[in-house]
Amino acid sequence: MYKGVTPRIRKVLYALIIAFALLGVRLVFVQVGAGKSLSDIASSQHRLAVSILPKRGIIYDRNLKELAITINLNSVFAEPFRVKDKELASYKLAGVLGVSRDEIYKKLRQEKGFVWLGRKVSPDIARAVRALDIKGIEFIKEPQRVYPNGVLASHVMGFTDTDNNGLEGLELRFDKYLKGVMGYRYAIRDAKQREVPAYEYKEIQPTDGDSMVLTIDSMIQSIAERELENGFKKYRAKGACIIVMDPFTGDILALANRPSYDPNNVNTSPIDFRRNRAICDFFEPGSSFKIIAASGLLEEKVVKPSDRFFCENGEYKWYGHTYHDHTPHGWLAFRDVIKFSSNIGTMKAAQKLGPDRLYKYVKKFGFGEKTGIELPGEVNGITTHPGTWSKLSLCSISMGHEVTVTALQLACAMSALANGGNLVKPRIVDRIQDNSGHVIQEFESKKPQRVISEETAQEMRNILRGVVDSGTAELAEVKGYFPGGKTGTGQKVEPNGTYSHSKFTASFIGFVPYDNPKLVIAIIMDEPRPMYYGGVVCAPVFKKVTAELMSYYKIWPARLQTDNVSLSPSLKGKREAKKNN
Amino acid sequence: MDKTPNNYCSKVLAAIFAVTFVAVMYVNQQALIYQMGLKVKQNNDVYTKLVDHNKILVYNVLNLRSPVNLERKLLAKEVELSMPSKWQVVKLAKKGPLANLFVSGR
Repeated sequence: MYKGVTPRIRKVLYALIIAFALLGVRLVFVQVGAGKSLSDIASSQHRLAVSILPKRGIIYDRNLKELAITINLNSVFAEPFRVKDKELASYKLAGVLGVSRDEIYKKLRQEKGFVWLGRKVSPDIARAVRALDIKGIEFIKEPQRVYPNGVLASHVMGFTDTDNNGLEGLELRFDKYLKGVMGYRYAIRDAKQREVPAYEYKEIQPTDGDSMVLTIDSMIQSIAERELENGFKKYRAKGACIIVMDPFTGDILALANRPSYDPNNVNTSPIDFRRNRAICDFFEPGSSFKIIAASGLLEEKVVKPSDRFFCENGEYKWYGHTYHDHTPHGWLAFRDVIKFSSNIGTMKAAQKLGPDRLYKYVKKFGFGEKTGIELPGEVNGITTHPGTWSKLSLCSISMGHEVTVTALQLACAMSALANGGNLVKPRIVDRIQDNSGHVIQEFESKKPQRVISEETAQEMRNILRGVVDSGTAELAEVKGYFPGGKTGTGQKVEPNGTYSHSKFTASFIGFVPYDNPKLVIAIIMDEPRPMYYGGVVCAPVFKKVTAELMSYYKIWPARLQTDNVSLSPSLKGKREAKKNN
Repeated sequence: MDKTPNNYCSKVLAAIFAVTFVAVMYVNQQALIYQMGLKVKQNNDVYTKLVDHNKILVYNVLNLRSPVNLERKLLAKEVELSMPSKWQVVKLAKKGPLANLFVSGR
């Protein structure tokens, strides 16, 4: 067979056999020995897992107007190894992205495969960057939370971070519902690292976030914020807040704070501006707290509205401490003690009630405990047990000192008087629903707790109507609507523990109309100046908000005061002409 | 059976042709799948782009309709508006012979 084969050819043949044998051995090693690991490496090179971001849920107001939505914006990134002329690219990009050239150049010189140049840029900027047509500069879509109403209800909604995690307000509290669940798509990529859509082999769809419907009415919120802003600026207050509430259901229709911030540009405001003062700040309420002692006195039938108290002509010594009224009074009926906010009259009446019963009503009206509103950061306020009270405590607490409350607690207490004696739990979230509108969780109004009888509540409303009609809150009067309420001016405590004579917390908590209340409105101003009385600083804000809200609700004044109605210029001219004729 | 070299050769050629044809068809099919996939992706991208653009437009509309922004613009133009009183409201009948007549809000 091999007769004709020369030794030289034979050698070549042997060499080939050995070579193929070696290749065979190598093949066995590759296939059997290292097969698994090599196969894994190959898979990781051509397989691709693309994350699919879920849509964050929408936040609606009670009329289903969008308060927070999510849009997709372009983020700009660079693959530095693909950018050839880095100096020229950084020069061009700096002008468009509004970042310094050095900063971009520094990023482009990094030995990385990926660097961010701008996250979630506006469509105009994205267009301009695209027009530069620089190789190695790419775009990726990222969801961005936006708030179409800007500062409106910013303390209620809060905001999210760059990765769409809730950081404040309802965005934080209900992050797990709003966020949704991320999905993935497993596909094949080609040699140029591009996804080959035809070879997609698995897709897990994302679950979009649930939407949330609030009890807030954006129109009421807008009116409340506008008037609060005006008052806040006029009296150069350190802070202010307003709450508009339905006294029967506990629905918060508006909740606003000043100073405020724009959730679309969070970093432009100091951190302190983000605090939800209505629930996170507690303060000594001063005279607006007298409604608690007064309710207790009437409920326990210790006093009648007509009972008379001597108010010591404005100065009264009690256990070595001298108490004053801001206006001296002699004999006053109990209803007038509240109407003129006499400290001396109130403390004399409170002594008839006694510490235990006063404390009972303080607790019954919900002070010293969180109201349970669905907002993060709510504080309890401070109420101490009568066992720890000094001889002065009964008098001080009855007039709103030695006790701290939140604006929301005061609004809830006033709601109890407005609705006939029931303490309601406030709520700001109505329901959470999925994208097809199916309700996932409903936040129904809880059964209210009766704290005083209907008769006492009615009596209190009559007394508080007097406060606005001819008492300390005449500036809150809205002709034809008969509001009621109570003013408060609390002295703040200095760092050395004494009461300040220059720093006050002004408040007015009112309801309207007084016979069948539709709304409760609480306004608090922290350190207003130069005026600091609740009846001067907060009552006018109440008046303006009430006047607009009554028209908004199409509740017309009982007795039309045509002389005080603002007329449009054309109608005004016609009326004046008619008068002259 | 004819076992001449010519006949044998033509059979081999036919087999090679058949195999090549099947291979070419397979490659063509894969290329078509790839192209169609790319086309679907491009259409999806266009759709996503339009949806995103629509969302941005919706946001702009919401922004323009926002009471805060409307008030700011009206104030800038010194236009002061207030809620109407009852006598300033005119109700319009929706149906019937009086549909075109004004009915006083009172």
